[in-house]
Amino acid sequence: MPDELYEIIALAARYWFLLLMVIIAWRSYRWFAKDRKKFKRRLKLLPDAGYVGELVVVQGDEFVSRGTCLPVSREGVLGYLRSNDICLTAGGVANRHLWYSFDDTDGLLVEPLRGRMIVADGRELVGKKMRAYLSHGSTLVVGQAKMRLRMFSGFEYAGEVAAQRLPLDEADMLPEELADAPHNDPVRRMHEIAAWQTMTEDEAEEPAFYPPEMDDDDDADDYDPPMDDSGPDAYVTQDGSQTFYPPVLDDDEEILKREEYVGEDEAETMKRVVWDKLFRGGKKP
Amino acid sequence: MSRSSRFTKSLRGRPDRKLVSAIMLFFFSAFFLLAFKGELNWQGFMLAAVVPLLIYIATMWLPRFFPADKLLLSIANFLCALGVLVLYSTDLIKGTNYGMQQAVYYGAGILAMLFCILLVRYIRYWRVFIYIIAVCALGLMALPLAFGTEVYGATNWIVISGISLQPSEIVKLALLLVLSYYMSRRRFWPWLIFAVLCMGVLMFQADLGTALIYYMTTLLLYYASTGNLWMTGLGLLGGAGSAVYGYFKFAHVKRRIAVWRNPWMDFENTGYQIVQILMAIASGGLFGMGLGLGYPTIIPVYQTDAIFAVICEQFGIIFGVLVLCMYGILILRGAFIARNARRSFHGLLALGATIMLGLQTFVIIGGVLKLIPLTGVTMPFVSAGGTSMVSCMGLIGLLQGVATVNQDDLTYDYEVSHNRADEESLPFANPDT
Repeated sequence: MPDELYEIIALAARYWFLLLMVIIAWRSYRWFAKDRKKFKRRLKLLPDAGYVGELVVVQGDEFVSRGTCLPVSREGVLGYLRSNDICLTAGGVANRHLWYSFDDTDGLLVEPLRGRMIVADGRELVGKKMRAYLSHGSTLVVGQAKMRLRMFSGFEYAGEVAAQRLPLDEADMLPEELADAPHNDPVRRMHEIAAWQTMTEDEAEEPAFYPPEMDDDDDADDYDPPMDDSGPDAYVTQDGSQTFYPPVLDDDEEILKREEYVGEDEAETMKRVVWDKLFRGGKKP
Repeated sequence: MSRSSRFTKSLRGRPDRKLVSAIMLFFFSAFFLLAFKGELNWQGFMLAAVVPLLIYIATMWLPRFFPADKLLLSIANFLCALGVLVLYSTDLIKGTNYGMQQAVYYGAGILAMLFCILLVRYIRYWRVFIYIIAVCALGLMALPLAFGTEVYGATNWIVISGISLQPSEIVKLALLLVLSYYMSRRRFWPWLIFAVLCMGVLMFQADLGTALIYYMTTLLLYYASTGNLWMTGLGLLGGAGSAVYGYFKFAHVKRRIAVWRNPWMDFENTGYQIVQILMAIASGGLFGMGLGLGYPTIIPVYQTDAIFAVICEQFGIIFGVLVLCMYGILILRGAFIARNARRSFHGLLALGATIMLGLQTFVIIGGVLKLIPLTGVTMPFVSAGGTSMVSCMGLIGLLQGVATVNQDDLTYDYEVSHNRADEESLPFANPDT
């Protein structure tokens, strides 16, 4: 094609290309905006979207009351700081206490962070590289708070042991009209939580794996963990009595770290708060 | 029913088809026009057929295998194809072969994207992978210090059997993975050490543009993961201090800033590139000089640094602004994906990829428009260069991986809540699967 003719066509085609570019940009924007609206509408229908369950505090302390529900996302960190995915303000909870991750087949994987201690289904886990899988109804002790995991509908059978180890006979606990209600039904949920709280106050009648009530006279320092690792039984102290709380060993500095914020003098606490605020990215809740 | 009315009916309510058909029409007509420049150019006819077909396959056919985000794919493919088009048009003027090379890199980029999608979708436990990735990345990063060649003041290239590679482009992906992994686990030191080592190596290589992108991405991700304004502000101050240090330490930085402040002072030597860039943008005017016309090849390094000026010269400033809008939508979409991620690792990964693409776009286009000093960073998806294309498509792959996981989770939530799989009504689900 002669250069002059090409130039005339190319000059005319500029407007065609611009028109197409305007259409492309406009359609992209419209698609993006419509999709965002559609997504917002969809989320309204899925109030639990993004969460796989919740940790219900069944035994708290002066900082966390019983019945508190902490939504559990698919992955994150539980700890004392507000910047964590789950903020638990109970005594004995470290800034970042445990890492968790949900898996469709195995359940909720919990892994204490460096030097921290948790009790998952009665099994004591100290420090990293120790992990446990929680399922619907599992118990978790972090610091002074004892919690029970409640998986949302659709996730409750995640974990291979979930089906065999449901701690509650929910059909007996729930009113008849709620027996067939879906798991995410708010009224059913309310009844379930109330039922679990009742169970906690009456622990003697709980299933065998659930640790019995702690004896106030027991000294936690005397604790000697049972050698038999076959089941999550209650802890047995050296004098033969049973205790619910996990051990605190004098000579184990790693375990003592969990006592952060407890027993520190005021100056030390202030120093730690300033350090956290500056370097760890969190304010005290 | 006539054929045209059937076509319009098939487009109704299908944003993906509407957008992709417009993109395909754009590139078909553009390459078709270029085929008539000078003598009949069969390569142009071939590209007029192949590029729209590739766009169709990459945006409409690939998502049949996993629930990818089609809007993101469409925009990324549009920008890649725009790069091929602009480089091909300059090839016809100067007789180079950047256009066809870029088309090959585009294919390699799609493979890199697929690899990253599979990586994010199917790896569940990252701990071991992260160690391996971090060590390999540091090794790769250090290679130019030993075997590197200096290009425009920065020693950041290595040549392996005739192929030039820029390791810092590939390490971007590793940086994001390491940062996201450790930040999601609230670990402070591992990612800090890794990022400091990477940036230290970049400073030794005098690759300050890439160092800036690494630094800002790390800082913004840190803010996103912790919300710690104090430390972020402190980091910004540290960055400003490093910039001042770099100004006094490196001669080429000092020169570039002097040129940025007044390019006309030495317009025949050091200021030649930026002056030619500004003249090209101005001569293009609002509507451009026409595809395949003008003198864009006069600009030094027009194929990488100044590709945006070439676009503005040939298609006009309005077109250039619309290209920027496409980048804007891409970034908004990336932020949308990051916000909807269910795991903090995925959220940080998607946000990091978005920040990196956004920063890179800002740094190069800001340099071309003389808002900031010009650096040797490439324009994502458009600039000539294999490593840049692979890295940018890898970033899109990471974003797509997170988007597919989000979509799977949303579908699952919807199914368990409503006991039916109504995928069509879900946002960014594939309407045709």
